[in-house]
Amino acid sequence: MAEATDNARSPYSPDDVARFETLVARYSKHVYAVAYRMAGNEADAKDLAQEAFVRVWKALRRIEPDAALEGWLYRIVTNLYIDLLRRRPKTRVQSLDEPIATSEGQMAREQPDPAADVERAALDKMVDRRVQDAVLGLREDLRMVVVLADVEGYPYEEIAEMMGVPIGTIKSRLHRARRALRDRLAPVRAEMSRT
Amino acid sequence: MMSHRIQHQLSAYLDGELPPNEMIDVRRHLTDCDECRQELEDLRATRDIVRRLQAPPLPADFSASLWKRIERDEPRRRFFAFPWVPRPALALAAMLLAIILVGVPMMKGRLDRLRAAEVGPEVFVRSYAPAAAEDPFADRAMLGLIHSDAGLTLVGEDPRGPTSARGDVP
Repeated sequence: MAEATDNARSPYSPDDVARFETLVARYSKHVYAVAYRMAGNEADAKDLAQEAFVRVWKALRRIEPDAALEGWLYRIVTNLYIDLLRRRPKTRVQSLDEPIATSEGQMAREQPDPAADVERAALDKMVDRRVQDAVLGLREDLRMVVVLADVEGYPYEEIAEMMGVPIGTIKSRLHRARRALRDRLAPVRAEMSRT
Repeated sequence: MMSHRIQHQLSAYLDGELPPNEMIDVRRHLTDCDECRQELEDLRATRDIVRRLQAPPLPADFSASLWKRIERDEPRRRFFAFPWVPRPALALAAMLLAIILVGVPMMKGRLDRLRAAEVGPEVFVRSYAPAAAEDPFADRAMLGLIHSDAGLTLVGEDPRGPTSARGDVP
């Protein structure tokens, strides 16, 4: 931080730097959380969240002091994540429910029974991991809606604005995502109702 | 009996995201449909589990490495930057420079051609013709220009031309 403040060539004033640091402190936790839920790993989440803040830094002079930046930041993260998937098609996350195409037709994807390791880990942490895995197993457009609606608690209208799609699409995607998650998380719900 | 239309509205109903009249329709349907009530409960339980997800801890070096990243990007960005000049002024200056670099040579060339066309004969008469007139027969080009079909020859030159002259030598 001192490097940026002391850099004589910087076009940004110490006030700009202080303002930026306030924004980072205010939003970084949520932006990183959304990026992590979408990307599923720390390295990509950090990269996406930091790139979003680099864009804030570049646009700092044009940002109103009282502007609410969550929506804009999440939209940046969402678009960056889509770009990331395009750049790395081999790492595309496939839906757990998507059948595998073989030479003899399609076959169902076999998943390890989530109930098998119930006894082996701390319950909360394990549930968290399994829910995260189930969310990651969703197709990315469905995953984004679930993350923004259910994890971050945004209303449909704002999500539609962030993702640049009609509100009806958000309704439909969220419903499909929840139904897929309902099936994937049925064992978890059963365990939780027993404990 | 589960209604297909109502079934697709259950998530939005759960979130209170339906218009009031549709909220009433779904609520009315739910009183009569066990299947949809069960579906609604499953969706609610699923949503609640997802909501319980703990926020992942922010990496300890997030802010420090963010600044390093910005510093790494900045020199490249600043190479052609003039931070003391506002960007619109830079854009205007660049546009003016482009107009000058392209427009001035074009205009100058056009003006020169027009001027040459206007003054060409006059310059010829004033500067070249009088000089040539002092010794008109010493300049074949001059002769050709003034009397293109006169068939004049230079002083001392064989009027039959070099070929025929060579042929006449015994």
